Amino acid sequence: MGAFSAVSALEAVAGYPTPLLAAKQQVVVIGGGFGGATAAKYLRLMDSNLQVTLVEPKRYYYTCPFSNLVLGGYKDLSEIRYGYDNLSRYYGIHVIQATAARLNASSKKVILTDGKSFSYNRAIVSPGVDMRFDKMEGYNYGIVNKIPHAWKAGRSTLLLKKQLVEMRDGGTVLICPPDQPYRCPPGPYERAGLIAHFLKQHKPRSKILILDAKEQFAKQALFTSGWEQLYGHMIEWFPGSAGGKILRVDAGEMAVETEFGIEEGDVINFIPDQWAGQIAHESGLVDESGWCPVDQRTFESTIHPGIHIIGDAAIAGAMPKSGLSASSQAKFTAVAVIDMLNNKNPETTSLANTCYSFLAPEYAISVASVYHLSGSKIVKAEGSGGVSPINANLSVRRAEAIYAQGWYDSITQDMFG
Amino acid sequence: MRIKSLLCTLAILTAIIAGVPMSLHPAGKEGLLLSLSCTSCHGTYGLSPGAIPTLYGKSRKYLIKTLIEFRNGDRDSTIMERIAKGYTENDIRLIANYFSSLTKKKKK
Ligand SMILES: Cc1cc2nc3c(=O)[nH]c(=O)nc-3n(C[C@H](O)[C@H](O)[C@H](O)COP(=O)(O)OP(=O)(O)OC[C@H]3O[C@@H](n4cnc5c(N)ncnc54)[C@H](O)[C@@H]3O)c2cc1C
Ligand code: HEC
Repeated sequence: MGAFSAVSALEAVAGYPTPLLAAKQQVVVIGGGFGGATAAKYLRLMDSNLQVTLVEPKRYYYTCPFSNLVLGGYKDLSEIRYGYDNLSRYYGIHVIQATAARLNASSKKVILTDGKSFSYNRAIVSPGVDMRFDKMEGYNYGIVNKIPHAWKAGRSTLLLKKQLVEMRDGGTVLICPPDQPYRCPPGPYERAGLIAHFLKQHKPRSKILILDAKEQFAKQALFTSGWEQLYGHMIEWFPGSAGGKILRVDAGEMAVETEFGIEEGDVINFIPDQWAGQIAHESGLVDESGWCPVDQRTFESTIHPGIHIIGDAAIAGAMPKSGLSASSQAKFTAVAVIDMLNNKNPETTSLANTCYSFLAPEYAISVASVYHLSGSKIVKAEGSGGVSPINANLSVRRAEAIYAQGWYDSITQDMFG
Repeated sequence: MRIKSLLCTLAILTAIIAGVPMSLHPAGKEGLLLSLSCTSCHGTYGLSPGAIPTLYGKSRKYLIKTLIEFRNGDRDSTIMERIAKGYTENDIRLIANYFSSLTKKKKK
């Protein structure tokens, strides 16, 4: 209902051509996650004359970062939950609790699923990913209550947690990571370690098999040596060529079929391939890959001008799909949008990403990079970046676990505080 | 340390930050833009609510020295060496100008 009054307020503004009101430029942000919440806040911080509207259907946002700690049994879902009150109260952002059906680039309008629409001068879209239910035999939306992906945090995370809690000791957990590109490249492997942390305490005879579509994965050497150190042989990883590639999911039999035969699981965490969130498809912002091509100097769509796409949905050169990438792109794009609204050449700057991954509550590793533009492409800044050292001792891993929590506290405050 | 962490509760942070405009005036703009990738870890305006050190208002000299040491591998770090190597000496000066200017701005 708050949504409706905000919409009509905007329409009222658009309808009255008084000089003062007409001078206010409207930026609409679709999606209140890592990209969208950050973009909305920084637009207002950097230009308090802008009118910023944030469209987000959920009352509460659960962060995917740290949702694996919920599975590991040492964080509660309530500790990764955020609302939008601060953004409206302290930053004057119009938060509309609604789903955007599509954007119309030529009329510069957002159309909501309830049929309402309003105008914008520029739009920033950060809808995240959608799961592909059309690609794998036997996998469809109807089975997510039996085989949760938990790749969007919230109910699905709790369901997977419940299945782990109810599993017999000596059971098998199958984790099936998707093919590139997908949200959070090291995420499935962090998950494996933290599920092992839970099982080691409560169901120590159990096993985790990772059946991977890929031949290698992010921070692989660090993960595999850490797992062995912490969990012995509880976790086994199979690359695509050694029986990891999945041909069919069988929810009835609780099994998956690989090129090497049938693998049964007491708990199956099949993480499907992904593409840009639905609104990007509905608005014609995707190319044949299912992701959104953008001018990497401004994150403006190369298909529809006036619409900027950031975060997981965007094709962002060398940057991986992560929360910190989305946050960094959000600020970068807020600057570009303000410059472009003022008919200035957009000023560009560096971008950054870091992904912390836990292997246990006091054991974390990281990968970091700085990015900048080389011509019109985002590339890694030479000399920067890399992963945690392979030979570091436990005190370094513990320090990274403390800083990972520090990162989480900072970035969530930067988005929602 | 204890007092500092007490002071930096989220509520107080929000009160300090909320509504303080992030001025894009030309003199400080480059430093501000570069600082935007730091603040996802160090907090909005470099005011950290948690374990990562605060940068807000630290002296220009200290920031330059520390960042150059990180970059050269002369100062122990878990992650800053990998990050600092992505910036030129000029970038570092601009970033240091920005974060060190913040306290002054608040007093004004
Ligand atoms: C298990 C796991 C662990 C992870 N760990 C980390 C980590 O440690 N560090 C890290 O940096 N990243 C991590 N990530 C990745 C991170 O969660 C994503 O990269 C990040 O959320 C991307 O931000 P986004 O804004 O693109 O999408 P999201 O954060 O998903 O936000 C999208 C928002 O848009 C809304 N939306 C969608 N469609 C519409 C519509 N039509 N109208 C209105 N609103 C809409 C959604 O409701 C949602 O709130 C992890 C991911 C997973 C799955
Ligand atoms: C991924 C998170 C992350 C990012 C991004 C990041 N930092 Fe840091 N920073 C840290 C951590 C963690 C430390 C503690 C030292 C360490 O272990 O690396 C630190 C320490 C520092 C220190 C030393 C502070 C002190 O008083 O000890 C400075 C200065 C600093 N960072 C500056 C920056 C600047 C400038 C940027 C942006 C260009 C930046 N940092 C980006 C995580 C980050």
